[in-house]
Amino acid sequence: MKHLIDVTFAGLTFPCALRYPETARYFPAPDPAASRVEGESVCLTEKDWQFYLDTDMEDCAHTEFSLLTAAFSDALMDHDRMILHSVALRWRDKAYLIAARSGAGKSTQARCLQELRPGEFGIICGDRPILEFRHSERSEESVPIPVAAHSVRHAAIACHSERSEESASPSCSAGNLPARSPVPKPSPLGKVSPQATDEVIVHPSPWNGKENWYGAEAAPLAGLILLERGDENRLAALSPREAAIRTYAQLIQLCSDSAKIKKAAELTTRLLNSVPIWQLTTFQVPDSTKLLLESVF
Amino acid sequence: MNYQPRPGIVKTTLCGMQVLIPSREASAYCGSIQRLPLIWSVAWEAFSNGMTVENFIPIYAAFTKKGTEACRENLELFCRTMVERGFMLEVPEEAEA
Repeated sequence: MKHLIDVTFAGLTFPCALRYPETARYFPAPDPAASRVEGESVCLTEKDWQFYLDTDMEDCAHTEFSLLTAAFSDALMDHDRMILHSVALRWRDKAYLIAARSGAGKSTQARCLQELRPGEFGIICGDRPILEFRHSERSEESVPIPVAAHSVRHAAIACHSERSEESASPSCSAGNLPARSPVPKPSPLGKVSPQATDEVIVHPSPWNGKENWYGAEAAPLAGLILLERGDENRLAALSPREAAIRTYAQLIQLCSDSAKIKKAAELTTRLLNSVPIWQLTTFQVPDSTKLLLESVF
Repeated sequence: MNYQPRPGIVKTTLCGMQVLIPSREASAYCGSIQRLPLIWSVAWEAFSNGMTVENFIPIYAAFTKKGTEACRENLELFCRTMVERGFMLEVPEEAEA
């Protein structure tokens, strides 16, 4: 016997069928103002349970809550929404995502940003925010673009552009700069990708990670930071193609349906065409975080 | 030897690239996403529709302007690599008869 509840995500209320009634306590009360999605309840099938329990996950309410992220992400895709494994920050009424595999240091970066700039950064969602794609007509001057790749290896600073055709900052050129040179911030104005047709709104979700970070309101997405560990602190602009596979790998989904897999690829493409993308390679904090602050925020 | 895609592998477009994405069931054999350059994307479609390696050689030759033997070697290498990575399965030629 399934336990039926209503769950609201990003403006939509879904019916949800639970194996464990206790799982309901992880979800907030549904929003009466949200649009209701009619149809089959979102749930984990017996095949889903069998697949995940074969990986030694415990059969319990908390597991059901964790696995429902994928089931809901699949359901949300039919409504131009998806769930991305990332920390969603809010800065000056815009959202920024730090995406990476587990253990790469997303939470550490978020914590460092808050410590280095107290009061400036809020957290929309600590682990699995919901992205909503809204088709929009973009102006040519609406989206900032990254203009430089910055690398810090111990005391040396090198600055070079990885998007030379679209660089909006004439002061940043290839070659070495003296240590501690002021790093130019990206221009607030610049050309947008010709493929950009979406405004992406980042919404909270109940999946906030082990730190249980949340609280900031939803905001339009202004940038995506892909994080990885390395032997130097380095920040580089990425093209959508360069970011594609790594970003797709962080999209939460059941991966059991070919149509959904294709839809996930479509939404990833739309995401990467809508905002600037950076790769942050982190060797140690807070130096890598300072690089991020100097270049992006 | 002929080849066919493993069931559960999804070919789709990601940021303008042709990629192979394993579904959950196929992920036990090939955990990562595979990017496919154009000619290999065409080969994949051909093998998905049951075309043999031998019958694809002229198509590959026309695309690459290489000789028959070079095409055969490259195709065999591509297919063996895809088998090693779990994306394709070998189909013994006796099964075709």
